[in-house]
Amino acid sequence: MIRARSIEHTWRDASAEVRCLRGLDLELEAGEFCCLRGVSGSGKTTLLLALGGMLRPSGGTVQIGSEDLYSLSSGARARARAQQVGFVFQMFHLVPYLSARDNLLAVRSDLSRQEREARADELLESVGLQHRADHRPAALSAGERQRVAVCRALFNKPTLILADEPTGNLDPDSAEVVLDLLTQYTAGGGAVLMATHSQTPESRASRTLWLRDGTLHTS
Amino acid sequence: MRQPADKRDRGFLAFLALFAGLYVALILGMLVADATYTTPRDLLNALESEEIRYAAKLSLTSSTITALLSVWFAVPIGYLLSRTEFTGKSFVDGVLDIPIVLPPMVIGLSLLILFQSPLGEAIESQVPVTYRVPSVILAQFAVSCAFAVRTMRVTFDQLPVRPEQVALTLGASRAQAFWRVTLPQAGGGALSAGLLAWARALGEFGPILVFSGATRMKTEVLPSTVWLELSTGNLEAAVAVSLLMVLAAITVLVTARALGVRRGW
Repeated sequence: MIRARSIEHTWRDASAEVRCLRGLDLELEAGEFCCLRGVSGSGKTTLLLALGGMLRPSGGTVQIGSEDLYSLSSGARARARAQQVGFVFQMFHLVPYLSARDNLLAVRSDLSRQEREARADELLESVGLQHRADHRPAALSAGERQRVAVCRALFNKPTLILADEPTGNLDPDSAEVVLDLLTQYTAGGGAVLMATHSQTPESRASRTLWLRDGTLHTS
Repeated sequence: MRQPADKRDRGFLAFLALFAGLYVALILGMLVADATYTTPRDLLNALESEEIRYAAKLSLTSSTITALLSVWFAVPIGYLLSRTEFTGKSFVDGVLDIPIVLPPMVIGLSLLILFQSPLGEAIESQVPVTYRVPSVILAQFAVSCAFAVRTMRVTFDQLPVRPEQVALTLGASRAQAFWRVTLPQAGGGALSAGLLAWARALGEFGPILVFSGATRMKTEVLPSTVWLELSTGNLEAAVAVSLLMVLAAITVLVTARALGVRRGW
């Protein structure tokens, strides 16, 4: 499903150079729920961005399905990203001036307007937020916002969800709800790679990887 | 005995206010000195002069064109410097500061020499520049754009990168994320960059004098007028024109800031 080979990345600025990923390999199969752990600054977010086609790594290849993400043109990569990868962030990052439904409709999609609206309503109903569809993010609780964010990530039925500390800002109950959603998604054949500092998600994970010194370790 | 905290704070605030007060007093002192030196009659005389009206018109038009051009260039340059790493970035960064640190006369001289090179002559054969109105705009732009670039660089540095990344996750290309997410957020910075460029262009004198000359009814801008009037000993007219520049600058800056505040910038 996703194959990353020899991923390297170095962050450079005028005063420093940080080699945070050093020839890292990763394979994720359909139905896998993988936790990614590591200390702050170990490169977890950099890895997620590289795997999601948002940050061209300094070296290596990322393949989702049969497509090598970084050999695609910028437009084709944007399309592949929208169709195949969903992202969930710690801080939700919903568009503040759009309602919950419109946040879902902001996703690039090949569906017709009617189909998109039906899909948005179906997703919001599946997470118990149909009555909040017209509410803006500011009117939602943190847990509700993250549920909307998960719905947004699921909108195009992606093959992979990359989640960066999705429960880091949530109370335990809301975190469980989000983890339930992601677990259901993997049961349906999707793959999840979740960067986390918490041990709670590990009970749901099929495996846990540690990012240390720029490479992945199983313990 | 230790002073209560609020008393110590008051001392510190007074220390800060002392320097702020001195500088504000210096600026206001200059303006008041100008205003009391001249009379309404001098101002009217200045406004009635065809040459000064031409200089005012050229100053306002060229400064506005320069400000728009500066923002046009500063937005992509600022974004490039803020969001990307590339070989030679430090060099480019340094080069962009040169117009800020070079003496204005040297900028004008360098432009003059550039337009006597084969490249400059080729441009001149198509569009006459030197000692004409385009040279006024180019001389202003050469300096003002550097200030606009610095402002836009800081603006983009301060904008979080996450909303842009979220746009990418929703299927936007990098260019779409820039146009639809980042640029609208940078509106306030672009306004500041434009105002700074405009104000700088309005006051530009050295490069224009060398590169464009100070020919009346042709390449004379308001700072040139002040200089020409001073050269002929007409101090009253020079001060009156200075006040006109102050009024024009205050009007534009206050209006633009009010517009910016209304739009939430």
